[in-house]
Amino acid sequence: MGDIYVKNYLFAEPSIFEGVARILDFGNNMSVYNKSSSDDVADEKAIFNDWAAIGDDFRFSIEMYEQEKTTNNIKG
Amino acid sequence: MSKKKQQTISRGKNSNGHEVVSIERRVFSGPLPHPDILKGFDDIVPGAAERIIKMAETQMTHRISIESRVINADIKSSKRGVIFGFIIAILMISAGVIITVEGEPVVGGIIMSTTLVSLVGVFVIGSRGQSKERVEKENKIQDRINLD
Repeated sequence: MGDIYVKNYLFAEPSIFEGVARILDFGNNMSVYNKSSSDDVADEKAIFNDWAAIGDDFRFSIEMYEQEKTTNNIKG
Repeated sequence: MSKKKQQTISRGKNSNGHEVVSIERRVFSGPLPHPDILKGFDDIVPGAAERIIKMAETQMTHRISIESRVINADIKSSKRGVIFGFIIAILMISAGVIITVEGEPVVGGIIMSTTLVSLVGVFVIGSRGQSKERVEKENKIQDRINLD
């Protein structure tokens, strides 16, 4: 199962390329963030994504535990 | 996305002797795994649920630390891009001006215009790349919420 959590969904990640491009960004047009249609929608997305991160961590831990158990069974 | 559907159908007769069918349906959907999964592990190995929760906590701390380090490194990299890009642009334009003054206006012009075109190109490509990344992320989160 793939990850549900979307990392830093509000903005594009900075890079050296973006830094060079900022030399000509006199109007600060590169500092743009993902906006939502309303505060409620923004909250919904943020809360969902926070829980998705925790859910992904849970799934990762369950997979790790299963692997650990399988390895122990093979050894034991 | 974790999803679980459970349906129980039970049949019986009421006090009047009529047949009664009851259907109970439980639907679970959300970003967290269904609690039955943890319960299942705990039934097999007592204490497994607590261990898994501890592992999730450790993983969460690790993820947050990695994310903040990556973002800080990206911000530093972006700052370096501004500084080095600016230095290179100034050097190239100065070189173009000096060469022009020294009597080679064609070569000087080519150097200056190439520098400016490159900067504009990087700006356009950089802006588009950023915009594309944001749209992709927005679509991704929208899809995930709609799946719920």
